[in-house]
Amino acid sequence: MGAGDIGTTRSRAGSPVRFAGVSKSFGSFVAVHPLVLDVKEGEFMSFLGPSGSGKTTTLMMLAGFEEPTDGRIYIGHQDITAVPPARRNVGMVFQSYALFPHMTVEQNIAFPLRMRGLSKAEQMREVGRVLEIVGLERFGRRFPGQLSGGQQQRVALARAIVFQPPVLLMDEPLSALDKYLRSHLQSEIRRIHRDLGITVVYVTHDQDEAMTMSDRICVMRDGRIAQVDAPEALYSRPQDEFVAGFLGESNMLDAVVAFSAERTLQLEIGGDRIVLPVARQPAGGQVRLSVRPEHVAFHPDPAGGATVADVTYVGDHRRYDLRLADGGMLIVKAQSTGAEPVPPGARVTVDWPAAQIRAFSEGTALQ
Amino acid sequence: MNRLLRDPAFLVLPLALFLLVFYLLPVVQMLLRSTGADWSFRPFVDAFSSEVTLKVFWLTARIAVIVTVLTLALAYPLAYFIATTGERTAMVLLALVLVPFWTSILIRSYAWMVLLGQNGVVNGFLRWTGVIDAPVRMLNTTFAVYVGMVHVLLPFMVLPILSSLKAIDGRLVAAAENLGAGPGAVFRHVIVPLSMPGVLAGSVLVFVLSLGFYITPALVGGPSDMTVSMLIAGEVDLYRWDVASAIATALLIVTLVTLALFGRVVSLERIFGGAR
Repeated sequence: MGAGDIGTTRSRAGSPVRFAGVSKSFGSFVAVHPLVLDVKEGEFMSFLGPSGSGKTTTLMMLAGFEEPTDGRIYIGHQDITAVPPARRNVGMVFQSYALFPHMTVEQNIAFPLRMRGLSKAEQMREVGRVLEIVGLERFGRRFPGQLSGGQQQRVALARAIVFQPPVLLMDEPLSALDKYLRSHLQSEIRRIHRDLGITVVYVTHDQDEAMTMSDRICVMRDGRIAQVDAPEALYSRPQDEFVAGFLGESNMLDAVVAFSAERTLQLEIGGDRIVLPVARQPAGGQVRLSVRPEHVAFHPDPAGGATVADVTYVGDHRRYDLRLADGGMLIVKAQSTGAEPVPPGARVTVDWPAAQIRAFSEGTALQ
Repeated sequence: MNRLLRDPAFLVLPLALFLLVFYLLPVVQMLLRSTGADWSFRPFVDAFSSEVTLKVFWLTARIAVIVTVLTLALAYPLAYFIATTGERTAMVLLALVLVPFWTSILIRSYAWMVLLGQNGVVNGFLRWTGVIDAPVRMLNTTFAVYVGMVHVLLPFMVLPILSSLKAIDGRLVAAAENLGAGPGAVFRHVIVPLSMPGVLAGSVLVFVLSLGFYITPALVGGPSDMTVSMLIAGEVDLYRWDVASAIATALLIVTLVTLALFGRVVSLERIFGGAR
């Protein structure tokens, strides 16, 4: 479908985006602290964070709807900080779709082309091209009110890409849709991103969405970047305690430093002792550990310090709630194939996966 | 009886009775009167065989159209400014629009007589500034009719337009800007089309109200500014009840036809149902 057309647009690849010390204050409230970030051309970058983390404000500054208090924003080599939204040439998909209710689907999509002075014939050709990309060929004459939420979102997407902007912004575009439609549109957006080679800046509070779609994720918290990295790196090597707890499920445990050498820490945790390789020493005699439920194992042991408090069967795995010797709780996901479940009340010994435990001191990783 | 009391429809009864006795019956009486005693429609023939009647209908329609256009031209920018300005300014302006709305039409028309008279405030000011040497005749002219009617009818235009402007989703404006529309294009392609329901609603209200205007043109207009209502009053003064009824019926028909025509464009519910 339209492979030739997509091929021609591929030559018009995305542009890099640079935030150079961009900050935003509302009175005395700092919504975004000076932010330095480079989005590569053609990259799919997600801003992920809880509400109030500054991710939407950052996007609005890139779109031109909020003026940065300080700093500059570049698209390609052009400083766009002072350029009005209408002349930034970035596509944007709004959370609420923001389709013009008095225009048909075709007129909505043709709007940016009309603003750019394209002829009627060119407009219709381009509208046809993007309607095909989003799979709405037969809906051009309808009004937005006559479409479902998912179809409206496709129209919004088509309208945002029809003028071939080098950068596409998306503000929680799928949050109003049901789960099935959401995952369907996620893969569709990824396909369009891949085919067009456009730079995408995507805002979401849904970590699964960010993980499955992005080349890199910028995790934000309280107006600052907590960590920017590829999804796998963020998940397996969080540099920040907040990231470790926010992305995916994680056991967060307090451990006492029993002994420390230059490159290793011996920690006491729930009555067990583990040795962790570290890059630097913690401040004080306590560290915070994060360990993923699927990385921990245990075995039945009458002399073990931990007990099984609860076990839940979740199909492909069993979820155990273990009570450690010091009273702390530990969640463990164990493969359910073949093995008999360990019953509640059984005493067990935890096999700590030293290589996969992250240790944090004052919020940042020690490894 | 108990069941009757429990049905909420019974609460409508007092109003229904009132309307029946003081509105519906007189209207029916008027309609019957206009047909003549023997269904000959003689009163219509009497009324419309006079050239004056036709001319007055034409003048009234012309006044209604011009007043509607003038009101729209003044109200739209005002409504747009109120919709887009800060909350405090908007409240003050809205109050300025509404306070006259709560004042009797009679008093407002007398006020215009004072303002526009030979020795009135406007003439006084113009002479003081030296724009004119001798007082200009403003009262008892068609100009005064327009001024007075536009003033009285302005709120009926401002309010529906304002409510439809306020109902426009600000994100549509942001979307239009993002897609490359400058301020003029946003106004043309988004604001104006989406405020059309308010414009049409306000225009119908003003037009229909203008058709039946009596006090203002009677007080500030000249001898040639006769409206249909004044014609009816004149016939009543002559005790020609049947002819007055026929003219009133004709005016009623013109009004209903106007409403029906507009109703094809926008649903009447949208106009009279207020909101959205």
